[in-house]
Amino acid sequence: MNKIRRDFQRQLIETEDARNELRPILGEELSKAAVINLAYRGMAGSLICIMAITSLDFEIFTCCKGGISDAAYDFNWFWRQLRKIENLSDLVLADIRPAVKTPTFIDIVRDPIFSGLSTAAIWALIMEVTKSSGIAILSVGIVLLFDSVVLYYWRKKKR
Amino acid sequence: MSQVNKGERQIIDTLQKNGFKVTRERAFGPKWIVDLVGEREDAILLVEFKSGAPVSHADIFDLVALRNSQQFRDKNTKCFILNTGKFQLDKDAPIMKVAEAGKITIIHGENLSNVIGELNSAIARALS
Repeated sequence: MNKIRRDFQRQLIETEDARNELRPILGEELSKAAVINLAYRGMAGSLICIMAITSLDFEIFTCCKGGISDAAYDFNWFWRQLRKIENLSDLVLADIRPAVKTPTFIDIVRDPIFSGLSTAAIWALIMEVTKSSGIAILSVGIVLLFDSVVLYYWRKKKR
Repeated sequence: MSQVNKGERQIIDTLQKNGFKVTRERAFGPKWIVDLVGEREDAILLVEFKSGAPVSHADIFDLVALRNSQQFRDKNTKCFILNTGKFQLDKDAPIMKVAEAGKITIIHGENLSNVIGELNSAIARALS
């Protein structure tokens, strides 16, 4: 911890200030109990806390109002900075837990790349063959529905 | 849904012997998936497995947030994290104090079979 405090070229945040920032999120009891060894502000604005888990394990806890992508960005940035510090390059990440969100059927169908391209392609193809917009609309609808179901189960299975 | 291994089977049996109806890998909204949920008329148990690394603050914060969510706020909900692996996690470890503050019970052992005995007594203590 002393080495990080000494060699890391960023302004430290007072642990009490970090605790105050965490209080609305974690509540009084938990924010008081957390052992915050060092706290910094990330490039994307996250609060980055190094917290003790055991005497040998520490946690880099990042949280951000901007959302998970900002917190992940800051975590990666902070980890790279830590690894640059001499004698700390043998630090090992033991556990990474990304937020889990399985895409829903609606998420996939409303994906503009998926639905836009397939609608345009199928529409053009069927119009070209049948010269009838009614049949084209109906066919596009059926094919899109089928595509969506297949893609949904494929992506779900991949996860 | 993944296969139940022997240790997990024993944990499920332990919960069932205590009168809980057990569901595996249950999702609560897009944010939470709980490894085991035990339901009984008077109580709900949320049981998480964590292997290979000590329980982190994020694990505890997540579980506390779930317990404080609308779904569990008004119910007698008890949370356990079964933490397995070859590492030191004694009662004085900082994370144990955080778990205590969040009213989460961490049970540590080298593998799941090692924590079953303690889980039984922890459930009895939590529900007494």
